[in-house]
Amino acid sequence: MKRFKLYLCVSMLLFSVFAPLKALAYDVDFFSSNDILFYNPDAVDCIDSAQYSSATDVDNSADKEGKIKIMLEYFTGKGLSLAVAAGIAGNIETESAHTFNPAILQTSPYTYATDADLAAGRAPKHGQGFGLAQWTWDSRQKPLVKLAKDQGKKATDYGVQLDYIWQEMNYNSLSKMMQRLKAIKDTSPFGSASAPMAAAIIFHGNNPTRTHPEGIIWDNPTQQVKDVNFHDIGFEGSGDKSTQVTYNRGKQAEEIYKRYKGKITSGTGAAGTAKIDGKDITIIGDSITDGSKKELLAKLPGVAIDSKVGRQFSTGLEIAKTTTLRNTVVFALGTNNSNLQSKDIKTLVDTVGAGKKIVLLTNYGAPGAASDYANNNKVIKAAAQTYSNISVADWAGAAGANEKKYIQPANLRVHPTAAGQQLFAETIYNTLVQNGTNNTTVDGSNVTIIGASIADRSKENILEKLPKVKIDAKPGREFAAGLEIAKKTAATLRDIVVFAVGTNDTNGEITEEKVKALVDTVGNDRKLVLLTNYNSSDKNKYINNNKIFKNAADSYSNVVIADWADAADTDPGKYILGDSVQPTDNIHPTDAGKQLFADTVYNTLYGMLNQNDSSYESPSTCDSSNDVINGVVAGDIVQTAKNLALPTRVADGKFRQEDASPAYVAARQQYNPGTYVLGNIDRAYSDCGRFVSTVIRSSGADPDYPVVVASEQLAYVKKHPEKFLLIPHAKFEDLKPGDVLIISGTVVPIGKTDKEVVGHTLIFTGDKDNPIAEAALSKTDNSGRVPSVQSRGYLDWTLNRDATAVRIIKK
Amino acid sequence: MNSRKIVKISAIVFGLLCIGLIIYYLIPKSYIRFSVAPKSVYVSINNNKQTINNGDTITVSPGKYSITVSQKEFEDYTKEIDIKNGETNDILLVLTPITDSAISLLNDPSIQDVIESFTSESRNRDIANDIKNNPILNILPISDKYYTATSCPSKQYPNDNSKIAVCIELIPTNEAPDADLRDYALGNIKGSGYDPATLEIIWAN
Repeated sequence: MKRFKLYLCVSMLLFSVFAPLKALAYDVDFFSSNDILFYNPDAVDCIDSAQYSSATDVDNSADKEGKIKIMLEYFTGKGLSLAVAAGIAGNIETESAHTFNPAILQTSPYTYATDADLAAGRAPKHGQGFGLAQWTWDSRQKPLVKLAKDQGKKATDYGVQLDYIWQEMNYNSLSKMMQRLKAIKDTSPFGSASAPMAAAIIFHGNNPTRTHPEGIIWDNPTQQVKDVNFHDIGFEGSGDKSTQVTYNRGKQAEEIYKRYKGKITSGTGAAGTAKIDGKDITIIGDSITDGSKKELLAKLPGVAIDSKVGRQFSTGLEIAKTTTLRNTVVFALGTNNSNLQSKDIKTLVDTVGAGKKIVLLTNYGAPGAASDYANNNKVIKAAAQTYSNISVADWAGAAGANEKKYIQPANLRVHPTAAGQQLFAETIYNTLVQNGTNNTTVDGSNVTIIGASIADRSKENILEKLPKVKIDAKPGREFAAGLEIAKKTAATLRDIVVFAVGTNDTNGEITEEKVKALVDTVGNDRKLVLLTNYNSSDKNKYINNNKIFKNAADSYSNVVIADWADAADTDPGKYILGDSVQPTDNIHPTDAGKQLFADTVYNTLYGMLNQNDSSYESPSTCDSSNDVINGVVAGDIVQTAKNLALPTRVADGKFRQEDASPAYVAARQQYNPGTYVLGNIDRAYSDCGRFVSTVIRSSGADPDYPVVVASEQLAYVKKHPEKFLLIPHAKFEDLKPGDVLIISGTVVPIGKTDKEVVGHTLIFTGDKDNPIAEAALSKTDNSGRVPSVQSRGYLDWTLNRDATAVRIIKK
Repeated sequence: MNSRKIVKISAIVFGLLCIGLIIYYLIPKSYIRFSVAPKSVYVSINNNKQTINNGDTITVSPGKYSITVSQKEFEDYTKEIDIKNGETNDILLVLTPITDSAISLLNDPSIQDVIESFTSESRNRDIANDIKNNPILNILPISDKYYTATSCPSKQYPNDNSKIAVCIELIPTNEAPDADLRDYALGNIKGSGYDPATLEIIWAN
């Protein structure tokens, strides 16, 4: 017994001496200069789990978008701004491999923890990422499990994990992060970084004490990281580089923010409380609208209402033709005729124009009414599926939920009571909030153009495209003079400033400092569009100007390029006054060039204003709500690509039709027929351009995408900024699932010295093991391959050759 | 002319034709098929220069040839071939442009299939060679939260360019000690189907 006590004493003594060293051994610098974050393996229960827990009950069956919404409501409900909630969600999107699935495990490929895994202790597991934030080590997994247990729920419960994120965010060691996050409002200025971007960076963390050159985001920090100016520990502290944090987590945060701006209110967690007015809205209606005028004006101050008792749908169409309509048109007709037809809707769409939004009200007839309007409502709901600018306000559903309360007992059984009139106004209002009023119409009303002779000569064409634009253009104007005008008129510049000068400045006269001065003058709240310069006889003449412009677009989030040089260069003889027409010119546009100049400006503005529609992107999960027909998934490039390509990497020499997946054979024959016969073998099934085009056309992303040839496809996407977001010189960290990569032209590959001429295209799926889907054409040696997934090496080969990433903007 | 004469003449003509055909088929010959961009080039075969268009095939005697393909404003390309009787040698070639006008010649839609095919074939060769020698390249580089793994020059075989090592750099964390991170990185690589024991691992820190 004595010997046992002696052993016990010695053991305790040794333990007391060495236990602290265990913690100190591997990160002395960190411990000496920081509060201890998370690491406390010997005292995992030191935090009171319930302290920050709210035992949140959420809908665990919600889809990805539903989960994002829940997350935003959760964190705004904690008093944070929507921008900060989006910053958190942008990080979680990366951590959870774009799934927002709380059961996700860090395996290859990703798998999901089952209840059996939880029960058997197989998940969460020390050393394996688990859940929304990919908690990897015991030190962070055990408190999560405890919290779940305290709440009587599973560790894979979405609400539990939200509570746990909030709990971790409130550790003392993250107090500086929380202090910064709490101060961020939706409109907070951070130089080149938006508020959601700033929140994403701060939530991620930027700890200057860590010594690993690539382990934290202060390696060669992006301008946004510099401007956010946060140098402390964040929640994530991942190994991502500065660019990865900015381009992935930050941009995801911005996109999420844009989707929910106006729908979730900062600091409240409440949905649908955004304020909109009626100044951009026209309502055309019948007696129901007429009776609800007061309520509508109260909900939508400034709305234009044209309503009349007994009005027919066809009469409404005539009024639409002869009235100056605002950007959103609410068409509340149909109750006075029950035989509405799809051609009536088409007439309405043609009359209103594709650039405006239309809201159609469903019709309601209570029991005893002349009609139940089933036909009308079917046509109306189908219209929303057919036309992208139509949305439906479901008056029938709202009133039918309690017809005794909302519909008058007599009076044809269609007219609303006082409560019904209020409901009618709210139904329209809520639909407008949900879908946004049409602030993306490109009519120039929010645009100022400062230009020189090219803009001056193209004025008529510009005004035709942008009738409300304000133009100040003068021949011979230099950049410095344009800058002075911008400074003098800074107070009256509109939201978007288009700066079309530079051709009167020789190389070296436009400097980064001057461009910065312009950016500063325009301010963070406005967008700045810079037109590139072009000379058809000396294409290097403005190379310095254009480089500085493009650098500015890379450096400042509010600067965008309108690539006049690229557009004019597609056919200089057609668009530019050459020597044969006007000696010594080669700069000014022909009539066709004037139109192209106006189109270039318009298309750039259109692309900017519609970027808040999220791009086609698909994580590894397939949205079950989409139609899947023979491998083609409507609206989903990634899933379509993966379904049409062979699921395992195929060897060279498999280039015949019989080698391809049946789904691809069927899709190609339907959407992209055509053969490429060489040596009596049709090699079209191994053609890279045909594969990419088949995916894009069949999924509905763009039915007009060129059927073949990478160079033609690149020219096409450059001509359509309203459809495509281009990322030149793409790097891996720039890519998002669904991006198309194109290489075309003469390049010097990274790491080599000799020039190569290349042409290839593929689809980035973002999968961990095989991140691309592609085909490879062989003309001579039968080494081609039908579409299949391929490994990272093939992607890198392409990225090393000056690839352009093409992101399709969702309509 | 009577019928016997006609028969005789016909027989002679037929015989000559047959002899001609036999001689033609007995003469050894080979073929060189050109898939080239730009679409028209000069081809010197053993110093005999001729114009060749994309898609042309020429007939040559079997043997070794030095073929130089050239065009103004493009870099020359020379290749030695050894072609056997009856074989067709495919030459897939995209000349490297020197000037802007040469680049514009390569924009001709009729030769884009040559450029895309050339790209695929050269890439397949590049990748296939690399991966054949080093299968781990299938999964490299890895950029994980706790480590990065990249290919790097072999220290064991410093003079053999076909050999690579895997450089793993840990990203220190306060959540777990480095030893755990090392196990984690190796476990990930093993989980992807590559036995770390067969690799030359270089720990960067």
